Amino acid sequence: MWQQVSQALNQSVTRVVTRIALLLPGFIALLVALLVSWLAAWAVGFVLRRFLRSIEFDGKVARWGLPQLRAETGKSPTDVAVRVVCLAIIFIGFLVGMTAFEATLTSQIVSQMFAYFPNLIAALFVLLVGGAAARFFSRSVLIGAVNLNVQYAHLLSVGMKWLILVLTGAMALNHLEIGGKIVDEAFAILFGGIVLTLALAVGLGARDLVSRSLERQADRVTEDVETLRHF
Amino acid sequence: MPELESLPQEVKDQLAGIGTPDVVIGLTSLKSADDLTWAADAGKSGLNVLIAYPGGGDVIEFQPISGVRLLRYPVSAPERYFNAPASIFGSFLEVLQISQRLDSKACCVWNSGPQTSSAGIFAQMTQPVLEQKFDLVVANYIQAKWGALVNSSIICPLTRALYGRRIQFPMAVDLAFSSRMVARLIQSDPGSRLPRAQHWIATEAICGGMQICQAALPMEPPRPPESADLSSILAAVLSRIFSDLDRNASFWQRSAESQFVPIFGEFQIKEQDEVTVDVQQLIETFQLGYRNLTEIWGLALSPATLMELKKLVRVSPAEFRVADDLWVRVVFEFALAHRQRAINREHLLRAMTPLYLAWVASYTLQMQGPSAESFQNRLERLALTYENHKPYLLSRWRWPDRFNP
Repeated sequence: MWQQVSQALNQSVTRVVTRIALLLPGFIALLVALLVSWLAAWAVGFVLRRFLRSIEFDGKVARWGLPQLRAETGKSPTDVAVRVVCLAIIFIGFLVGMTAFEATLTSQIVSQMFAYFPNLIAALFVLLVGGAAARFFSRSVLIGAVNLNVQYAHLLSVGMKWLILVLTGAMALNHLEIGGKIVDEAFAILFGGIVLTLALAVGLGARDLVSRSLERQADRVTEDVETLRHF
Repeated sequence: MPELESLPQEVKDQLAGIGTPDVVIGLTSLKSADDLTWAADAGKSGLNVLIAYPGGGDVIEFQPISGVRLLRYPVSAPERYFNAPASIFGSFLEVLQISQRLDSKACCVWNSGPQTSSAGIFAQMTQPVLEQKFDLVVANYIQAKWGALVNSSIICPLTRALYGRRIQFPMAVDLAFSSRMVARLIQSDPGSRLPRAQHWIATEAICGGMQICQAALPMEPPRPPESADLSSILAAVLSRIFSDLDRNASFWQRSAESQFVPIFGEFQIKEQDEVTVDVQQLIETFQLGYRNLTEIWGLALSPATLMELKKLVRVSPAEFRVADDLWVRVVFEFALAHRQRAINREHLLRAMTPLYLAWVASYTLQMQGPSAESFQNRLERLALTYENHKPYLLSRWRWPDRFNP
């Protein structure tokens, strides 16, 4: 009986070791792929950083309305771009390494991931542009409202920011095919809620502004009041 | 440097048969022949005058006058120019091109309304060019205590401090040029690839070593378009002068003390008493700006300047005063932030409006009442403060990363 137990154990160990031995080349290939992709990422990152600095990428990004990137992330736009590219290269290396296992399931996962990749890129792009647009327009609204002496300037600015962020989030989730109809409905509720809030804020906040504007128009028509001129 | 030619062939054909006028006058807002009653007087002066006006409206029927010709040209590059009517820049550049093509001795661009024009005014504008070899004549409008405050608080003293010329209205839109100046203005700038005429004309002339003078005109500065709000015009004007600082850095960093610029004609001052200004509202806009825009201001202003502004928020309206050195630091620090692109430039310049209104409130409070000093003295002190603080701008311009308290 002990002989049968020993034989069973030996067979089990042999099976496990064989499985591990079969996985080992794939694992090593994964490590090599990661190492190579890391080196490639480092080299590409080095070249890209020098290139972006030579074309004054940070200045250009500031001109496009994204100067706050540094303040909010603690990194310059160049650093962010280099990091995104490097991570993408390492991720691609990881996928290449995964296919080296030659397992059917792994191949399926990898092929599905590759098929999903464009959606992911599109969602990331939408998020990036939406985030920048949210920051730009919320700031435009804030400055414009302050210059018009609107007391609810901050509320309007925050409302504008969340309006764009919610729209961006819903678009990104749609690209990622996550959530299905729930996202559409949640978006409609949230977007409608923000618009209603803003409408109330503008309606209440702009009352004085409109009356002041009308008074100014009336003054202009009825009498030529001597006043100061900026230009 | 390449010249920018935008005149259509039909205008060039017309010009070929005109000959060489002594003066080309560009009336950029001429609409009807009724505005040309003065032309008969101009014809009697003995000078050959060509009046050019932009197309777009109806063709103006003009009774022929000896020595005066009328030319209509299409506007090819409509663009807003300072506070002048829309499509003025295109007209401006084409008037210069017409003047150069005809080899006229002088060119005058009249952007104020045609109803303000007269033969006397054009003679006043062009005589320094024709008789005294000046290259640029800048209109010097009637000065008023409560008028042209953007010019008085920023443009005039900044030009004086940095470029070393005391031009009363550097942003004047009525100008006269010599052929030498015309040739320079229609060339494209090698840096921006834009025609030099699109830059600030006064600083362009100073940097080009041109002879500049002023013509004191009996009229107020032209009003900006009704549709434009203060914030957008202020941002447009500041954008242009701050961009010029960047382009002309090598010049203004070397320029020394300011010099007087000759004035032709009798300089006039409009007597004004009190004005109806809601100072409280100006202060409230500043306070609202401080509550909401500190994050943006913090990207442009130094901690010391922000601290001064914080103190200002807390004072009562009666004691509300923006000290000259604080105001000058604000302007210089915004110019530096504009150069460094610390933030989107449009946002940066629009965010300056509440600070400018704070200065206006302070100026109004100081200048009201019978015991107030004369506004010329007040503005002279401000201009001297700009000149005294020039080393601060220079140092931060050259070493932007140095710590600034």
